[in-house]
Amino acid sequence: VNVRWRVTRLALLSAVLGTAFGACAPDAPTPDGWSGGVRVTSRVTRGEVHFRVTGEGARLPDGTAGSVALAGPAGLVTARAVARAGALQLRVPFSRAGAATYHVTVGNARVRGRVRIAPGTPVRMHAWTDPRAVRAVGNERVPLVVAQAYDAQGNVTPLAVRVVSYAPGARSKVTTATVRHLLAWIPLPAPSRTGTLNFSVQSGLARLELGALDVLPGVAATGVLRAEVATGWGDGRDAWQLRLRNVTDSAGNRAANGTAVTVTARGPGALRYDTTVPTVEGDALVTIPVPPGAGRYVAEGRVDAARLGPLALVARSPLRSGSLPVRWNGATLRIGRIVTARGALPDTGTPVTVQWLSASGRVLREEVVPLVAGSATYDPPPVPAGAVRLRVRVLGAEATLPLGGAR
Amino acid sequence: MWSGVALTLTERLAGERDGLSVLGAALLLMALLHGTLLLGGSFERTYDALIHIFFASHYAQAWFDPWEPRWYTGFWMVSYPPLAHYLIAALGKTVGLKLAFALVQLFALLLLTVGVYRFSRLFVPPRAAGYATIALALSSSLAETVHVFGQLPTTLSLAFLLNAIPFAWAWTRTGHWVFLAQGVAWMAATTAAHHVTTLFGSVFFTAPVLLVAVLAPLGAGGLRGLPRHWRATLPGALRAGAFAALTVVMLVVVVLSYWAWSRADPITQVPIPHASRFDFLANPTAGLVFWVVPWASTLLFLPYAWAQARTWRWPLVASLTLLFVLGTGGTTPIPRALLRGAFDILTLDRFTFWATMLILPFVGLAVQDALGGRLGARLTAVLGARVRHVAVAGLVVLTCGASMWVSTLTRHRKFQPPEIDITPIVSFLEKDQHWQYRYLDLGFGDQMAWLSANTRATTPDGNYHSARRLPELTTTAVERLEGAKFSGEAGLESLRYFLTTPEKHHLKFIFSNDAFYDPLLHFTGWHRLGTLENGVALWEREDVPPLPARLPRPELPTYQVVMWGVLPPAAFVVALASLGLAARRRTHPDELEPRAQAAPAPAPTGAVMTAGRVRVVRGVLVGAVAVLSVTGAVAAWGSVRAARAPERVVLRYWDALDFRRYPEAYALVQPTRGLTQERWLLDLSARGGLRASYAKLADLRVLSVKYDGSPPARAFVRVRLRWFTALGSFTDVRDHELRRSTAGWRIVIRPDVQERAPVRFTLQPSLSAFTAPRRLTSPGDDSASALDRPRLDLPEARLVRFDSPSPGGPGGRASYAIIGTVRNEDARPADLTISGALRDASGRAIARVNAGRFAMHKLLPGETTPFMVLFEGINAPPRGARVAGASVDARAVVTGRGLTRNLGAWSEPDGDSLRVQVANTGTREATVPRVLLGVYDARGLAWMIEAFVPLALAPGDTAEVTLRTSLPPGYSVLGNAERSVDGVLLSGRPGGAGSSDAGALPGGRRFRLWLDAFQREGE
Repeated sequence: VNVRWRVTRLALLSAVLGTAFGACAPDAPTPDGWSGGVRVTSRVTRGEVHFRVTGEGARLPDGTAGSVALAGPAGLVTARAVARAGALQLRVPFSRAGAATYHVTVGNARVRGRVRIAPGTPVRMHAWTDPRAVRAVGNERVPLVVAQAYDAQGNVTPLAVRVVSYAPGARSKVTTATVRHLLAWIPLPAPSRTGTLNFSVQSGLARLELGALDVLPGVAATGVLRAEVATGWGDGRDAWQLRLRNVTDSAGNRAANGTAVTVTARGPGALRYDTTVPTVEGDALVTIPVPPGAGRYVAEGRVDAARLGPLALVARSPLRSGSLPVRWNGATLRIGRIVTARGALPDTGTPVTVQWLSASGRVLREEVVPLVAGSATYDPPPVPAGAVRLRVRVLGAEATLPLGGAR
Repeated sequence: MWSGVALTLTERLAGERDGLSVLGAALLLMALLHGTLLLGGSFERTYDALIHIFFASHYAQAWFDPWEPRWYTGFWMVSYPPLAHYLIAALGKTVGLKLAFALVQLFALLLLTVGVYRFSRLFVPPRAAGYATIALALSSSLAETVHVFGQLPTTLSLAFLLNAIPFAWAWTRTGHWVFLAQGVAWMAATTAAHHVTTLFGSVFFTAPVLLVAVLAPLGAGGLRGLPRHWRATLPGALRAGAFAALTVVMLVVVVLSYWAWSRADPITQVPIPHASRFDFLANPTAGLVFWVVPWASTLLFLPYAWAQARTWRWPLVASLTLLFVLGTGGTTPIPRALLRGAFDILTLDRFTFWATMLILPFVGLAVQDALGGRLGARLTAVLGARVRHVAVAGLVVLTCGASMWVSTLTRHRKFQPPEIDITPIVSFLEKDQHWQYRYLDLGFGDQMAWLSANTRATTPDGNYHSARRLPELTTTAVERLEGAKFSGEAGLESLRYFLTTPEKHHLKFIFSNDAFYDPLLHFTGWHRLGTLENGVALWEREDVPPLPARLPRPELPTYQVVMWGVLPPAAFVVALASLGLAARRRTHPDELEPRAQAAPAPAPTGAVMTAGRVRVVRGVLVGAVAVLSVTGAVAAWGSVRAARAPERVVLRYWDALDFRRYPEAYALVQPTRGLTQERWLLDLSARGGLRASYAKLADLRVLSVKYDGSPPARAFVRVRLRWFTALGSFTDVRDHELRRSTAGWRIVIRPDVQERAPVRFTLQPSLSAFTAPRRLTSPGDDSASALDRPRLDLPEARLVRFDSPSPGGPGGRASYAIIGTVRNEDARPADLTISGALRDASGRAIARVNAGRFAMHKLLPGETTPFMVLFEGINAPPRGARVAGASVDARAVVTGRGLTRNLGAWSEPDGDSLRVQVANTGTREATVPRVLLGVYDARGLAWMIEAFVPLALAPGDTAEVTLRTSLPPGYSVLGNAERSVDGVLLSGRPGGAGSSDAGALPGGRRFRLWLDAFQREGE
């Protein structure tokens, strides 16, 4: 049994190896030595280049081997075949559009040539806008659609691109552009109204979804700044209210939402207030806390190049002159009871600043105590070296007193 | 001292069985104690375990790929021996990586137990070796290494080493080739697990053992007999030499790629401070972690071990002593002198760990001696039988307690942030191709490695310092960007660089688990996208390009790649397979050191000590206890007394507040009517802001203490607090009044009365914007085409030179800055990036960085921001480079974020300062308000100064800050910077745009203010 099995196994192995070697063996010897000339014709179909090679003045013997090598940007593609019915038919898969050189070899004959592959019908498209938003006024940048249409093989087609644009408040407009340097640049009509400029793009069978371009207001040129509350008390409660209205560009479009408005208020001495607020639908509200220092103030606004104002503002002293009661009660400093000019108690928590001053007026130590129900008490620490008096400040008023009961 | 009676073979085998039964108990104890903790996931709270799991995740995905791109923009895996990681990777395929780690660690511990027994048997009798394994299972050092440090290669490689050494011993003594083959195979496995163990283990473990084996033929004479009988040692010496040579060959071959890497790519990392290198006396915390805890369970046996130096075991004692000294870190100059350059690279805790392993044979011997030997008899004589039993029982209880305490240390003392569920982060990175950008995590601790192990996204940070090659990281001693705040100002400087210049490393996303960094992120141009389901805040930076489709990566020769993937696991397999050889050629007890077979001499029947000597020893003991007690009591009394002083009360109060120990802090407050603990806590939490929510108390110094009354009834303490924040440090001087009470000095704190207007309902219009979801439609898309760039106006910008303050003292280093303004000319809000570069005479860029905090990054239409690109610190040009010019570029993308403006400020010059009263006029809290002051000279914007309001401003609140308006020392204008024309509108206006509106300052200068704020609630 063993011997028989071994023989069977050997026979099977021999058969498998023979089949394998046979499959790998070179083709049967072909008649070669074709020494005549050849004629090559080429034809481009979808995704392939067909070559037909015939003998010059004589039929190619059947079985004559030949090859063609097609060189394109992606490299060399080679196909081989043998002649049948007096001609050699070669097919090379190739999809890149443009000019490609080929090299046909049949026996000793060699022919070089060039084949031009044209792009097919556009079926796919890529387009974008640059920029994606423009201002209606100023036209600092012309809105463009940049398009590129491709055939089924991904070649850029030279077919013209047609754009239909729908500007806000205007009739539709058709623009056609030819392709240059693989791209079609289509300027869109300069819009004069804010909104959304829509457009469609088409070339051959290729289309895109509706495109959109934002048409935004131009640079803010005008606006009105008014003081809704121009007078206030500097007790920490009041604030001046400035209203900015109708901020528009030169064409009357409302300024872009978020446009920065800078407001500055100047007061006695070098005191100044700075703030920036964004506009919402052309309006903005500016709140300025009234400072404790009484006097006249001037507010100005600025939005883009437009200057707004000036506006006059008035701050009133929160306390009546000389109405800051401060006294020593033993070792404790008592402040208050304070009553504001409007006859009310100051807000609980209003800070009272107590400063220890030297003979030259230098602040040696500073502490803050809060007012509660219009009063505050202060238990001073040991007197700092060099201190000669105390200064108490609250709501813009101040009082100076000797060290008194302080140790 | 030792029984000179030769034991019969039967007695030896009986003793061996005795030892093996104790070994069995030790294995059971090890599995129960450490196995339970490991399988319960204790390693997830350790320092290193997740790093090894990350490495294993790499091999699980690509066994033969030695390049890991997920950390540090890519590093070589061949920089770390891979066996442990291969084992986890292989096992992780079926049980998951975390469980695989636990199983491999448990395997290593059990193997280590066997190794300790076999190693100890070379020096001590079987029962003592068994006790050594029990001591191992209860070792505080092992518990700390496994359950606190999370080290696996250390335990695994030591397990291989201790099992290899008996083979080397047997080879040296007998010359059987089988032992040589086994020894070399196990040394190869040691190398595959951790080459450092082979390297140093050869010195500290193998060498003393082989020395004993080589000198064994000299008999009792020891080294004294060497001159006359040196020929007898020759065979053993030659065999030991052969073993050493083959060990070196294995050391080179098994991890050949590592040696090739370390030679071709030497570590350029500046030393990163490690507490194991500190002076433990000057830094008691480091001493506790790296000396007291590891030695807790075995330190008592050290004198006994040193006493063995007079026996034939002296080489082992010498090795133990050397390791003991090396483990003391910077406490003595000896380790630095011995290790030289390696001192700043190695973590010295490994020496202490090895020392605590090397002492185990002596521990076992001491225990056996104490239980039934002469030591026990002496203890009985001195202490009495009852006290001796109590002392031994107490020692066992203390050891068990110490072991369990250390094993669970990470549970009751947090070394890591609470466990983070990484699923939402991984999901975010995977969707919409977010992995095409790099990310950074903050406040993750070592869990950053677990996140990396589960995502293909990459991060410029990492947790394996030896491998990093980015100059921004290798030039700083920052351990991880993730925990930059723990490295102080230097750490934050590194982090700031990455946050300021994110596009260089394609860094787009930050996952923040630590609000400490939030203000820094905001003011460097990042915005918060939201909070993930796991509570981690997600931040994003605009205008960062995605990673290229193919990242650059170096290649190793194929043979090295194959060797790295094959040899280490093969070494492990061969080592285990070699045990089959042992079955055929079993080690006979006679081949072991005969001197190690003898049990400690039994206690003599008579008195072991004279009565006089017992009295002396007792006297010394009692005296020592008394001295220690008195000293301790005096120190405790002094400490308590000092703690009651007013200044100490204030220090304790702030310390307790800083660490959120509120009850402890409130206990130091003088009881005041109306100030309940609830009210006090409410006052503390009512006003958040930079100081309350984003700062850490870095330093607290008492400036003055004054008393009032006699005896003093009141005290006034002035303290200076230095707060450390992500935006820098600032100081704060506080005056505290204290009153003496029966409980001691107490701080007077009054209820916080804040100014609040009556409740009013306020409505304000606001802006919101929608931007299309971020999505890269296909990998081939150019992301730039999806961005629309607003038009910017970049007027002239100037290059200035100034002296930045030197941290070391007076004088400063020359620094540079580009200063100018940028205006958003577009009708849409812009997210701004301003880049500056310094150039040498040839036009080559010698330093490049973006404007970080000194700019407002989100600009409304028509809004202007000043900017200052700072070249100082790690952004400074290289030393010796000559700055000849500069260039600046500004670019932006449309944004819908950061559109709120709700701050205004009254300002008034006061000498060379500007007093600014910041007011919140909006409807939302300004958590960290900021004032940017632009100082103008005749030519335009000259300098910028920033100030942060330390308290949050609720709507209607005001707060005052003071800014100095002077220019920095050494200020000079070098010229104008070139401006890029790419997408930027260049106006010819001078850099002082807007100066006509500016306020006046003394000296003819002018100023402008810009205000913005970080809002905790986001937008």
